[in-house]
Amino acid sequence: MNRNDGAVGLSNVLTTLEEAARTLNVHSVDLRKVFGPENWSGARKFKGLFTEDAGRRLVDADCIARFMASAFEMDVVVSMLDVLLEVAKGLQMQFRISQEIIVAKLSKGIKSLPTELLSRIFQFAVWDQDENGGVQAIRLSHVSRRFRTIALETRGLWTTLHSSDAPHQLKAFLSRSGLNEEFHAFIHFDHRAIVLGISQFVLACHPVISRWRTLTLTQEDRDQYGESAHLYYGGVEKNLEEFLTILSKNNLRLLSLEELDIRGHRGDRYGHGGNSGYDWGSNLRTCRCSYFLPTPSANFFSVSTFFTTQDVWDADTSLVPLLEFLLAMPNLTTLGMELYDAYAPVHDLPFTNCERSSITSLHLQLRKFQLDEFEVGDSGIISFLEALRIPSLEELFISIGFRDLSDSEPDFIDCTETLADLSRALLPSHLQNYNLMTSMFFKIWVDGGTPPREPQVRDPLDSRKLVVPLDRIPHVPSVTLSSFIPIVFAQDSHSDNIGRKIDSSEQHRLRELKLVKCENLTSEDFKQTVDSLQSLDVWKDVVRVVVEDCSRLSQDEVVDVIGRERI
Amino acid sequence: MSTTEDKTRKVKLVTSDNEEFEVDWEVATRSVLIKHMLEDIGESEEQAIPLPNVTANVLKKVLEWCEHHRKDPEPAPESSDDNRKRTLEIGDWDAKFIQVDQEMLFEIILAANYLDIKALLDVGCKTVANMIKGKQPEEIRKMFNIVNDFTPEEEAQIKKENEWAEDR
Repeated sequence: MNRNDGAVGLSNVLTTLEEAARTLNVHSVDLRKVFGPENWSGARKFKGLFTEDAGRRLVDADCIARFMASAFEMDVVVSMLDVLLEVAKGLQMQFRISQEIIVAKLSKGIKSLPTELLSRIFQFAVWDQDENGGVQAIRLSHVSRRFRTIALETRGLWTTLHSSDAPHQLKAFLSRSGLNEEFHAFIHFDHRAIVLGISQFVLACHPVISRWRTLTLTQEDRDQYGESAHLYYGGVEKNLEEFLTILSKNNLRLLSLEELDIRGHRGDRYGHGGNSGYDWGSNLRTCRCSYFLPTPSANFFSVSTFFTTQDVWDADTSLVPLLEFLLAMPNLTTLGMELYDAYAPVHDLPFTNCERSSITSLHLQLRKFQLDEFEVGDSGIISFLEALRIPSLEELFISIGFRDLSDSEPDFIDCTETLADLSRALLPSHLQNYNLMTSMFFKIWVDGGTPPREPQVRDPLDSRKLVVPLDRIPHVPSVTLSSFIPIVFAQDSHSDNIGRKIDSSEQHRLRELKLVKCENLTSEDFKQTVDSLQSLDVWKDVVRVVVEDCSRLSQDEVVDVIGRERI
Repeated sequence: MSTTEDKTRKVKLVTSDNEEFEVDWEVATRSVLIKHMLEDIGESEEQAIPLPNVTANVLKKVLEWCEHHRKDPEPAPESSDDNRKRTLEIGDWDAKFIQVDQEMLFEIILAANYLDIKALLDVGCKTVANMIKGKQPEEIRKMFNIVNDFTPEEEAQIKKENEWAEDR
């Protein structure tokens, strides 16, 4: 071997080291194991000689020569490594200095933000991700050392707890969030929940369960499971039941829980509402339920805001339990209901009255409503609204999304009649007594999926109208209307009674009229609306008219019809 | 509480690069800092307010926002939980307003922070949060020219945490 061969051999050491450093996931390799004594050939051969009586064990000259050669090799290896380490450390220092200069130059933009602003940005990003907030927090902490420091110091980033999180992740989150933060818990029903249940998650959260501020129950879309879809039925109910049982067994209470959100699936089958009869909390303020209603209990006594989305095709299993659930919330002030299939008939009428004098705001949204299937006489939703008494009502929002609203000429008169029946029935007669009402919003639209279908240019023969029964809302000073067909006010909804003057005894308070997003409203239609108010002798008291986002009606045309003083 | 007199009053602002802006009192006082400074100097109309941390091009942009939002009600005191309920949604006008290059975006955020204009600060922070959300660390690094400066030991810990995050 010549001198150059030796140099090549040495330089290979460097190449091999550099290659090894580029190995994927090298940081996770146990280097002590890879470089352990058992992997050194010299050490393996002479392992038995590393004792005090080594001299006695070396019996022949050949063996002594090989041992000495290995000892010499080891000296050379150590001296090479010493030099390598010295040079590598010098180079590392040079890299670090240059790296800091480059980092300072490259990331000046976001680097210019002080810690508290980056922390604020991180919080926005994490909060926006809802149940994936924890994943977002972890990702932010993996960007750079500064991001990691800020993320770890921002306790609010680590407050999303999810039932699918690994136990050591939950432990880390609880530790990072500190002693005072409140938590946002998500319990998801999926394959893992079926097999393992949720007790591991709940018990891991045990130390902070009294600091849960919000709780959301979700479930996997069962349709994606084909033949085993039946296993996924009733997901949120099963989880709620198991959750309440664990709470009860361990005497745990959700003392800080202010929001409960239960997201069931439309068409799923639920039984008795996950009841366990356990008194788990008394601080709940907001409750949201989709396609599922928990069993009414004292736990809902403090709820002030309740939003629900339900398919009410079968009134016995939807509207009747909904009325019962409302009775469990005596402090309710805001009630929001998004109801599908609300045109469906019901045979067991009427419903028992339910008075909720705490409610001041009612939002009712009817989705995919089929007008041609609707009959006032046997309607479940109308019976429901008749039964729901809300004497302190201040704000009323009604929105009806129509599916397949006929636009063929022979049906125009029928359509107007049925629509008038509907609008009148949705404003039940007991509304006339509610003298605290300040505003009503009434909207009809075409619910043809999301986003709603673009409005069609109206057939000149189209005589359909939205008839607003003014006698049902005599105390309302501000009315906002949104419609794709012309609007007229009436004392009575039936067309032959349109225009009957309101008696002097029937004092009305209408002062403000707003027409918003009436895409097809023309000047002529607008005049018809105003004429209907004039014929009822109400127009003279209207002091303000607002026309917004009505693309076929210009400001000049509005002025032509009503003058300037009311705009 | 502003008076009718206040609303007609003009305010002079001087930037770090010595440019003077004369704006309506109602516009200038969207900034809590300027509002307090005006309260300190009283009725003196001639006295200009120095803004040593804001350059003219950034103040011009900030004043454009203040002009558009001059009639907005005072923001409510902050509650962290209310914040969580808020989404990253930004109004149409604000979204268009904040379509600027990254350098200007960060300058606006810094100016809003210095001038204490909470609503504008939120628009800026939400815009950056919108850019960040749902992205992997490497994508965030690329977007903001951030260098991965973790030590091998830190990388090892991060790898472990990555398994938590992606293994759900």
